[in-house]
Amino acid sequence: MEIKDTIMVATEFGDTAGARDYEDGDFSGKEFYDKFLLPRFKKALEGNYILLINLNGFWGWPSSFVSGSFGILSKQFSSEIVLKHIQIKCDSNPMKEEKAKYIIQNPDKQ
Amino acid sequence: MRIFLRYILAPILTLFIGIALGKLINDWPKFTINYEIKITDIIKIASTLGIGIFVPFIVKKMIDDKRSKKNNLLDELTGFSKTIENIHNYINELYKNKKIVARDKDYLNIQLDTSDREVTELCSFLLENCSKQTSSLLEEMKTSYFNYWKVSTSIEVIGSNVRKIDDATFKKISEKYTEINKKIRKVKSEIIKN
Repeated sequence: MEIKDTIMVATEFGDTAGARDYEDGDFSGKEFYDKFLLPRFKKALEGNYILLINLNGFWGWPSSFVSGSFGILSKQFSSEIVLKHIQIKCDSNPMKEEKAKYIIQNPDKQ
Repeated sequence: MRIFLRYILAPILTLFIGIALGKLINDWPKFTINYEIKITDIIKIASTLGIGIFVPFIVKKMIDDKRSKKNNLLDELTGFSKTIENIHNYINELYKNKKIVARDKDYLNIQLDTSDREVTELCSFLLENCSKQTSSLLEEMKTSYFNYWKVSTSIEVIGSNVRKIDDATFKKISEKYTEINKKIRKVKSEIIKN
């Protein structure tokens, strides 16, 4: 499967991660999920390709943002499907990818 | 008297003992000396001397290298442990002061971002230099770190409406902090063991 779409988070969404829900302020994980992640992920699923999430230049990576976006996606589609169709890239901090994968694999775990 | 003993009597006695020993060796019926030396004997003597001199040096160097490698690995882990301790001390202060503002939340984000890079470097360094057993412990340590990150940047801490860290959240964070320290200690003791 090849990468056919990329979300450049810092330029398309915003350069700073907020918290989880809309009521927690701007650039929340839920906002990212509703406006970018879910629609683009659905297209990747239908087209059977990989969606690349490029985090270069995106500041912060709080767990509330990640669980509010990738966690919800994982609960909705299962971690296997999400991991099959999503790739995360951050050159300056590769640990962000691992953290997102951790949340995807453990969306409910506290 | 002492000068007489040291400079006159002692050399004379040594001379007589030497002559007596020479005579004894020369006249002893069962004691013969072969003055022919084989080249293989010279090689044997040289190699024995070489082994005797260089092996302790090599062994000592190997032991020193291993020790300094272990110390480096332990230093790296101590550095990481210190970073986590600093973050936790900051959270501890926020909890005690019953106040958290936007700047504190940003600070936690920055610190955890910095520690991410530290964990990445630490893990790749340790994986290159450690046993399989240590690498599985390292994975456990990384998972504990993720758990710590998960609670310390959860909505209960960085949510925009959060004005103080509540007791239940602080308890959770402290538990995860204890857990990560336990894992760091485990990795350390595994390094010391091997």
